Amino acid sequence: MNEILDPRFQRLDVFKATHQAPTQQLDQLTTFEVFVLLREGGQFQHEGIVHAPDVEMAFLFAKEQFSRRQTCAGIWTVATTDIFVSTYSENKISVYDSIETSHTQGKEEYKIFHMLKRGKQHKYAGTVKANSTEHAFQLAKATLDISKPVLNIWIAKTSNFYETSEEDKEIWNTLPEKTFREAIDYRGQAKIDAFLAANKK
Amino acid sequence: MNKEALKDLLYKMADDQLILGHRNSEWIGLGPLLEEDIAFASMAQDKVGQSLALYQLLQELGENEPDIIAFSRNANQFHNSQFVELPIGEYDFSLMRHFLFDTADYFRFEMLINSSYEPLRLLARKLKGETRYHIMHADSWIKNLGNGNDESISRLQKSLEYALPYALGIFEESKMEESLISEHIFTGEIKLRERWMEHIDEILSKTQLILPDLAKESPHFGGRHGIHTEHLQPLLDEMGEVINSDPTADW
Repeated sequence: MNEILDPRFQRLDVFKATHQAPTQQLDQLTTFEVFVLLREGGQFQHEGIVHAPDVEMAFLFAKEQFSRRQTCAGIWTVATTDIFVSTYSENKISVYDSIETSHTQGKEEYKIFHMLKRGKQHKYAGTVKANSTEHAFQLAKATLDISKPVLNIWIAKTSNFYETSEEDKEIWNTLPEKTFREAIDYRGQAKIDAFLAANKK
Repeated sequence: MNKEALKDLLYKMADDQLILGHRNSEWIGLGPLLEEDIAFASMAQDKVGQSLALYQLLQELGENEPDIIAFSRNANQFHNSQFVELPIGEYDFSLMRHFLFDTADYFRFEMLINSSYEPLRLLARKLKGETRYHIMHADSWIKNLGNGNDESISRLQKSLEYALPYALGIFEESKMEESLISEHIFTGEIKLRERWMEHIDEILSKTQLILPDLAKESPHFGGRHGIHTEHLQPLLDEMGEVINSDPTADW
């Protein structure tokens, strides 16, 4: 019998080690929000968070966290602390109802995300050019589609995002072929059935 | 077309991917943070997948089927560079190897996009994309940790110095190199090394790491011709454990 080389086995005793002291504060990476575009022509939507040292590494981690299966045409990442979150409204009341409308443009681009249903993800609604987050909120009311009640809004400066570039899109070229990431691809039941049938005879 | 030269090229590429894919998979569950663990494991999986695609090209050229090639050869029949068979060490070494190897890998695929051998040309076009992600990931880590604190910088520097002679072994020329070049199958290891060098230099210049003088390094050659370190055979024994105990096993 060979000695098992795999360090996962060799280091098993690390799990038996005495309880480690809790990690000190600030010894953790911060969180970044991840928005994914499933296919060209679709809409970016919020998929979750990653921990990372910066927004670029957040993008790199997000690629394997949130685009492991099916298809992907783009990812945006932004620090959680760079997002302004509006209050939540109930039922058919839109958060836009309680704010002023602005029609004067500013200089900085902001991305706006809308949540239309409780429990559903925030979806990208568009950009506005504003001078502050509050101003962006007011401009969004005037320029974006708010025909359906918006229950919550996220607003963040476009310059704080890390966005997939055109030439980087090739990183997803082979994604649709990675069917080995799907359990069904191993046809486990079919193999068990064949084994049982063969052993019956 | 010089079929032997082509097969030699495919074998060394495939063996590099298979061995490094297995090595890097040893980090599964042990990565420094969850997100990195998943990303690194995925890239290891990509490498094993890439080796499969290359073994399939070899099968089309009359070689045995991929599982047999992958799991039933001895160390002296493997064409991988010695670099990829080294144990994973600490994360700084694994990361440095990922940076140095995958950069070469990416530019090899980029050069093969113009190969005169169509199946390889098409495959390179396909695989270049996922390898692009690998170097984006490697570059970002090297830039981050190469500008981090004293520990991260000195660890990476030490790993860089240790890894470099092995990394140069990636570019060991084939005995049929001239054939590959004259028949436009592959532009050749010397050209690849130049392109690799430019990128390594560009990224390292953005960090506090110092690239040693490559002219003074003596590359660890031999891997391409079946000469390996003592680390390869035990790894192959472990990889072949299932097929060696039951050659008909299906999984």
